[in-house]
Amino acid sequence: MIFGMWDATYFHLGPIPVDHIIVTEWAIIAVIGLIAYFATRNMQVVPTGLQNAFEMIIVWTYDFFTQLMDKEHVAKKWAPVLTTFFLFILLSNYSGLIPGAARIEGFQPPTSNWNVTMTLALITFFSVHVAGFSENGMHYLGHFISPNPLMLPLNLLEEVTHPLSLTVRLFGNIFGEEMVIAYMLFMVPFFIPMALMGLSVLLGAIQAVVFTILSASYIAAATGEGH
Amino acid sequence: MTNTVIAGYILKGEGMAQKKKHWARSLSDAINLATTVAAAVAIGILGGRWLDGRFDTEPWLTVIGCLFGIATGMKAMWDKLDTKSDSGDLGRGTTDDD
Repeated sequence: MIFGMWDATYFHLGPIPVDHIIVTEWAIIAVIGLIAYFATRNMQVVPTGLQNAFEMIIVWTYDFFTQLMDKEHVAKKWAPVLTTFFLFILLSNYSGLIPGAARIEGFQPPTSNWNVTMTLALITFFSVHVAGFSENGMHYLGHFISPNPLMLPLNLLEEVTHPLSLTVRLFGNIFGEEMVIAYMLFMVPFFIPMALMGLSVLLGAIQAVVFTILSASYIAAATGEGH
Repeated sequence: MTNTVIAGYILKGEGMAQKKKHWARSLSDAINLATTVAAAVAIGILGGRWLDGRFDTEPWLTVIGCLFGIATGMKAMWDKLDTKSDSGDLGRGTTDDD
């Protein structure tokens, strides 16, 4: 949790250094994968237990994204990606709250590192354009010169602002929250950090929701009627 | 309206979805506008500073980049207002009951 104190590179995968952030991400991916495996390993027509809970969540997310994105087929196509974003960001934000996390050397929430948030934002950026082209074909290019070709530079700059704002918002919020909690732990060791950690539970969920909703709205805009 | 059945549940079709203005759409519009304007100005200034450093034209390209970013932010706001006025959303707020 107390980040910035370690620059732990554990080992190399070829030329790629594997540090504590990547290991934490792998752990989060493993947790999501294991839960999904146990929920789907013995599927029944009449669901019970974990399968039932997951089906409720999936139906709710499809319904949510259908209402948000206007087009049902687009929502169904992209809901798995967006839901994965939500789960990954939520667990990443919460990983700093695991009891004892402060004692694990090099441990820090992946979303408090801008490389991670930029990667997520770039996935959104490319997903938006893939969705735009797959829905509208080459007509999608028309929105870059809308309402007239003179607007091309402004439209291009606007497209670049989307990943930047997604990156900075998520990174800034989680990094700032971790910084405040870390300093408070040094200054007032018990009660105030506890209150801030309670607040960070809310903040972590809000930031996961905001990132997911914004990604969905960018995809909805790229696949909308105007393109 | 087409309904879809998944795992025994009936999903609402496109017709139903288009009638409702989702709260999340309003939230994303609000967050998006603020950060788009800020990010556009930031990219304009940083890009201008980088170009000034390369071509030794300080401060002109920074100023032009800043103006460029402001123009992009204003265009983003204009587009959003234009969309809102087309859909009749201006001035009456949006709720799930819309």
